[in-house]
Amino acid sequence: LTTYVFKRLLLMVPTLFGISLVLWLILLAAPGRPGGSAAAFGEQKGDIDPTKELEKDESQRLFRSQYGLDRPVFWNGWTSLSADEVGRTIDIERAPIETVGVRRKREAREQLQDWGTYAVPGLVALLSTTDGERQDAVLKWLRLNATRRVVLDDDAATLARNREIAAENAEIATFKWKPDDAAEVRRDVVAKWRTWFESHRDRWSWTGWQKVKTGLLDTQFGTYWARLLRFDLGRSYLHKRPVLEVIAERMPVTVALSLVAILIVYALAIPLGIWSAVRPYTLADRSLSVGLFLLYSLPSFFVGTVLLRALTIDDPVRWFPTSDLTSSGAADRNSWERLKDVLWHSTLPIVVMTYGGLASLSRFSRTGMLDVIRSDYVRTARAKGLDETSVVLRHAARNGMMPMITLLAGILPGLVGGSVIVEYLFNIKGMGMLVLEAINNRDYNVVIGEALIIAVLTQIGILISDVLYAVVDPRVSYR
Amino acid sequence: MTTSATTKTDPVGHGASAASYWAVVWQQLRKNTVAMAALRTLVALWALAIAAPLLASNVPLIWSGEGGALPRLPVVERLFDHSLYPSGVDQFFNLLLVALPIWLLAPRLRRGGGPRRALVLLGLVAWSLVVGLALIGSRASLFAAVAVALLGGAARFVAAGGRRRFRAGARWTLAFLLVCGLLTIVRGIRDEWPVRDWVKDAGSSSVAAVFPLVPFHPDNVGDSEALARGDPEGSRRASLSGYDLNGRDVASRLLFGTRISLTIGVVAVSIFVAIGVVLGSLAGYYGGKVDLLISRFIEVMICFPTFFLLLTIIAVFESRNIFLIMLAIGAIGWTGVARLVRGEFIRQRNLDYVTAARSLGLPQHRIIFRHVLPNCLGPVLVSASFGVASSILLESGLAFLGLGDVSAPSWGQMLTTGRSSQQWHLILSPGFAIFFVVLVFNLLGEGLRDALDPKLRR
Repeated sequence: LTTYVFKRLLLMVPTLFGISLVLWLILLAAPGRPGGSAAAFGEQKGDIDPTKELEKDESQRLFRSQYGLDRPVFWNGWTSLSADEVGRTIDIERAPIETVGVRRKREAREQLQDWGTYAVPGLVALLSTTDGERQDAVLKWLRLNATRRVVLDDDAATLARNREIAAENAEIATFKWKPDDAAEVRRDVVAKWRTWFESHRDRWSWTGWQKVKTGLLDTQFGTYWARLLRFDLGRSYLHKRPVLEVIAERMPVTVALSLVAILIVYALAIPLGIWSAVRPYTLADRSLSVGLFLLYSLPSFFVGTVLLRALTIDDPVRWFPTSDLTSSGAADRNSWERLKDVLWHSTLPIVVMTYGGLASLSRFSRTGMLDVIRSDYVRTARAKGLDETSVVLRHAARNGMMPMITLLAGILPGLVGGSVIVEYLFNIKGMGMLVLEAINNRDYNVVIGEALIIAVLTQIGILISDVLYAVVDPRVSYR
Repeated sequence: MTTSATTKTDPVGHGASAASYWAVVWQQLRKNTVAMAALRTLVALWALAIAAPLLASNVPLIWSGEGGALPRLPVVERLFDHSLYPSGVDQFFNLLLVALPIWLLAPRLRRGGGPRRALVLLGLVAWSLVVGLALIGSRASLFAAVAVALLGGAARFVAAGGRRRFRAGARWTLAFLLVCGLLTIVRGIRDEWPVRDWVKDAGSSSVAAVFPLVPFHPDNVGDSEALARGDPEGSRRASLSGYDLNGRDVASRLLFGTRISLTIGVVAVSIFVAIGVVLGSLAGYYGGKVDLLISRFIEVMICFPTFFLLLTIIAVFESRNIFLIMLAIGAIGWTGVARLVRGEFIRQRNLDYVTAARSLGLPQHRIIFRHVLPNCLGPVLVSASFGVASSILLESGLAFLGLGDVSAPSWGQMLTTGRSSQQWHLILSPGFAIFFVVLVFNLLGEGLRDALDPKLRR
């Protein structure tokens, strides 16, 4: 059995890889810039203030840099970006819409933003060779692209580094001219840029090996996998904390609710199934089947809404609280009262979470039981003169209920997915609520990170059910 | 389960005996009263969805006395009005409203006789009368729709003379629906009309007007004046079903919501059945590395809770378009079908008829899709029926969370407004609508499963 578990654990590795791959493909298939670049483009009238531009959509930027979405997909050749290419792109970007069209203009703009510091050498070269309005445009982009971003972390080393970056950013922010300034001012500013560029030359001089390394790693593909291998899911824009931390904080509630729901589902479904299987096709069995079938088709959000409306707002009755898992003053009560409080609060959520699984599982437990109750060994047990309870519970049920374990893998994803709706309905601060908040606030790092974590959790659940089955049923061969 | 029955009755896998297998299944299904009731309800639901503009609209059905001797039929004239029906779903259904009667009647003109043919003729005359009257005051789009209808009907009429009638019919209908869908996608059929407050005009001028049963547009287009006064009940007639918080009629929105739900179900399921069948049959037929790869992929997809993955896709794509939602559901839900088909293929691939086909030197795609696949479709049909139910649930759940397409009158979205209003009729009506449709599809799936099960054959 140990080898079986070990092998299954090994098999998890390719599946994990596959999970990450699927998420990566979703990221890849997503249209250029989440956050609606078209809208941002519409705002662009006249000159762009670089600092504002940087702050404009911080959440989107965090997301894009976390997953390297502002980089090429597989190969980053921007280390050898030529001034010509930068110049051409700037020309398209500043051309009137009528001549190049909105689409090309937007693409050029996004390209310039994506290049970031990679475009600095080209821009500096362009700055001294151009003049007039074109030079103005080059300056605008140089100021934007030369500004480095601070790293969001709070250890001492990073803070010191951030101060350095901020000081440099403040310095280069002054290297500018107004469009109607005299030629000397312009020359002066160009000279300042040149000296600044020369003194930081090493940032843009790559050896051949460095070029290959950057080319491979500073890409969407490279960034994504490098971060995943370090278990780095990025930072949440909304919570200003690492995503992993936020998720870990919300996880216990959701996991606890799901576990309780699973326990209740099994505790009710197995007896119900056995009960109706020992009296097949009677009125009781039939009405139970019909009832469960109706229950199975009832959408959980509808049931939840009706329960909330009927039982929580004093019209007609107020038996249960409307939201959350604890009362406001719960912390100062003793543990028995706290437990009662939590139970009182979680009754409705648990009901909404369980009834669907209960309906489908009871049907399976009934069929499973029906299959064995007609078999020869059950007849033998009866012939031996055993009483009916013992035949049903000790002989038939033990075998008939075995397939139920595999169903755990089937209902688990549904339960976890359903937790979003339940947590939304009852305002429970769990993982489902987290992902909803994240979607509504465009906190994409959380969305992707949570999808990953949920998939891993589900996988572990499936693994557990498989191992359990192997433990219970000796006929399963441990390959 | 179906394998044994299939291989017995259908040694080659296609041709006349294939029809007989499905005929057996059909016979079984007909004995199941519940499933047949579900099937009939389904047909009725489709009819309701298609006829929605005739049942619920603030544009009158008949309008006479305003210039010209002939009465006019504004609802039919404006079926392709972009401001009344902006969504692609509605355009598609309105096209069906014009074209489907001819499509259904045309082949019947050829077959059947006596009183039945008279009935068919009567239907055709009624259709031409209505459409002809509407065409007088109409724009190009209605002409185009009629052209589609007549062309399709003519083709169907000719095809009805051929021999393999059932198969040809199903295939033709699929092609017809595809053409209608394509016309909707390329926005070939739509035009612009000035917005008009018909209800007000009917009260003020000396005209005779007949309004639909539910005289409300689901989004109150054309009622702008009354709404602007902040008085939704102002110049309008009494609503049987009450209004929602935005002063929109509940019954009208429910009716148009039927269109959304049915489309969601069918489109999403067609997508995932297509993906599942292709991947599953490749995995099952070839085995080995192909199977390993596809099975791993299925395992990976199973790890994602469907609803969660759907949320992630919707979030990353930053779009709430109803068609994206259908596509996403289709792209997620195929694992079940793929596993079913794979299992069936593994069971069938070493049977004699496959070996025979192989030794005849038939190309592999022909063996897979023409010989083995038809024998595996039974369970797929069952899971497609359940799939429609779960797709509808997924979409409603999404809309319930406020992440659906706001422009579509989806039932889930209605339920959300009901929830925030705390009014019983706004909660119960969309809720029961979802429950009812889901139940119907589940019942049908259950009936199909029983009909396909040789153990239960009577």
